[in-house]
Amino acid sequence: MSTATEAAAPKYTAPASIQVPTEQFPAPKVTRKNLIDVVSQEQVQRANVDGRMELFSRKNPNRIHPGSVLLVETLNSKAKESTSTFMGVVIAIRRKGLETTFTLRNLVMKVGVEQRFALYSPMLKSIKVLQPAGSKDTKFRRAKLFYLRDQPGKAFQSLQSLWKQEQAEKVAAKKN
Amino acid sequence: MIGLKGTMAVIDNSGAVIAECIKVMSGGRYARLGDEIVCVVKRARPINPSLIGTQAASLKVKKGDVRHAVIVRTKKEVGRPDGRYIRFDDNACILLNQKKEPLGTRVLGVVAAELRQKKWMKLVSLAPRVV
Repeated sequence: MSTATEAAAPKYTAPASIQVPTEQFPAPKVTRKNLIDVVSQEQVQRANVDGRMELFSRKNPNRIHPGSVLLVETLNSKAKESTSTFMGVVIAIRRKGLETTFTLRNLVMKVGVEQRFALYSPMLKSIKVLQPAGSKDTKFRRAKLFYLRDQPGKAFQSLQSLWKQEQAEKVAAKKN
Repeated sequence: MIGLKGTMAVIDNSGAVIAECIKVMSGGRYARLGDEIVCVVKRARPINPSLIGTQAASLKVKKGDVRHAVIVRTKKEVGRPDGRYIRFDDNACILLNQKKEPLGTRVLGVVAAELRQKKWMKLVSLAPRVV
């Protein structure tokens, strides 16, 4: 690969629809690897804006377990700043690369409400862990907690106080 | 997804407790969140005997009344444009009059935000909680 041949070859400019890896993402090694896996991993890296991938990976010691209480903020529209929040117990995590989703369950005015969020959606502003699973009332021995729909036990009792705590923290933060 | 014979709770103060769908107004087989249906009142709250014959009693519905209603909560999950899915633990509706206005004056319970997209603004403003 002499400099003479490099100078002679025309520079390739990709069409606008193709994302060329920049310095942030060096061109991945694709030999002996499933190409679709490589592409999907790169897509996840691009969508992993604020480190949410670590919360839902399989091996991370600080990952979210089913049964933890999360507070999710979603943007109502791309144009406006307004957000809606939803707090709930994680009852299911579905890990499928870029299409990873998790389901939160909460009791709103005595009616159970479940919301399934796409983890890497750009409309998902932030995820905050209010209570990690593993403490007294939140020790669950299943990956999917669909049985909580019929036998909630004490799983949703602490949510009210956690919500109030969160509101108080917000007010305190605004004051400062 | 409420179809013929689908039962749901009525969450306004019109007097009805349970309603059964007999017709989906959009013409399809099933009604989704924010769709209008025709329903029969299967169970209603007893009307206070001292009020019978007054104007207040005429506003309350009785068992067997046929009314229009709009679905405000479904057990079948509904997709939102940003990739979220939401489902409730029960099916619920609010009764309407012929002019598509709510029969009752209050809404008792949480309703889905899909009503806003389907232009049921009066119901959204009456609802104590919109998710």
